[in-house]
Amino acid sequence: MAISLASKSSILQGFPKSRSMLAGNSAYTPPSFESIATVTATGSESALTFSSIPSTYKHLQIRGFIRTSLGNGNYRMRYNGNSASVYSSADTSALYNSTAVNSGNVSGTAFIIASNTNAWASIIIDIPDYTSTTRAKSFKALFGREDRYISETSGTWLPSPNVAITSITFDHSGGASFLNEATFALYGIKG
Amino acid sequence: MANTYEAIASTTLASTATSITLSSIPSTYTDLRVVCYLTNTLSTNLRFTMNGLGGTGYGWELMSATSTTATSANGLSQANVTLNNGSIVASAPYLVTVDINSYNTTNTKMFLFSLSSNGTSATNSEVGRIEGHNGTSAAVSSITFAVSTGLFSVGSTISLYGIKAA
Repeated sequence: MAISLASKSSILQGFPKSRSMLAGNSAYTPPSFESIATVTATGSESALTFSSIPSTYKHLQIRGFIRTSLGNGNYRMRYNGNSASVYSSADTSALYNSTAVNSGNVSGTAFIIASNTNAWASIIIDIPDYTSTTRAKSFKALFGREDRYISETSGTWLPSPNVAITSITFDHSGGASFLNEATFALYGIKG
Repeated sequence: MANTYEAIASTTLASTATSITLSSIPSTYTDLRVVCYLTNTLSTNLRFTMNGLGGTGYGWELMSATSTTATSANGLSQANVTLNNGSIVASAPYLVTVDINSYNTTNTKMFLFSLSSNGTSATNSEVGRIEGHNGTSAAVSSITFAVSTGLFSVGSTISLYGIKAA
């Protein structure tokens, strides 16, 4: 068996040292779209809430897959528990047996989007610049329901003064519970 | 924090084709997002299916507008989801995004489409929002876009992303 002489200098030549942790490795790109929290119903929740939303992102996106047992009424969204009439919204929608319609609302909820009995629905909500204290908060939401209903809604929250969004609550105007497996996922987007 | 928005796959046509499929979609995400940049050799309708399913399992509702007309349309017990109302113009680019939330559960599969068809004039351009669904309990493992006439042109691209909730 041959024995070779190993010295500090020969080892360093074989394994050169670098002061950068990235040397020899792929560049690290920090994620810019991050999962913050998920709320999922078990069948008894009349409201689902994201609370203590961190202020470390530029924009928020919420992706939902939801249903209730109640056909009469609407899904609603509120910020920071505020139910005063400081929200305005407009939407366009189409249902299977009618032409597209539009409507507008000034009310105590960011949006009102129709539910139908036990019908699954998918929704994607974008809320840009949610931490601003100088501008009103706007959102847009694309919503589809499995009984052939589609809507797109945009709206604004106009509290005085403007404050950052720190919590978001979803419920139903008829007091219905979200059915089992209904879920909302909250994501933060860095800017 | 782990990245929750990841590229899964992308395909760009090197030759014309009647359909484009992304298959072997992993089940490790919560939602899927598809981004398409397409052109076609002939004026056509764009159709979407999942897992190779045909039959009568799809329903959809569409609302769209051109420069002159806003309209809606729907389909029940269909073999696919149709994504446009007016015909998509030959050689003109059209953009499609598809969001498939909770694609890996046993519940109804929901598809939210945004379509922008950029024609040769304002009257044959179209912007649309479409709800599509299929009641299958199977997870979405493949998606296919197909055209009713003509072919997808060379360079047409479809990219698939996975979104993972905490």
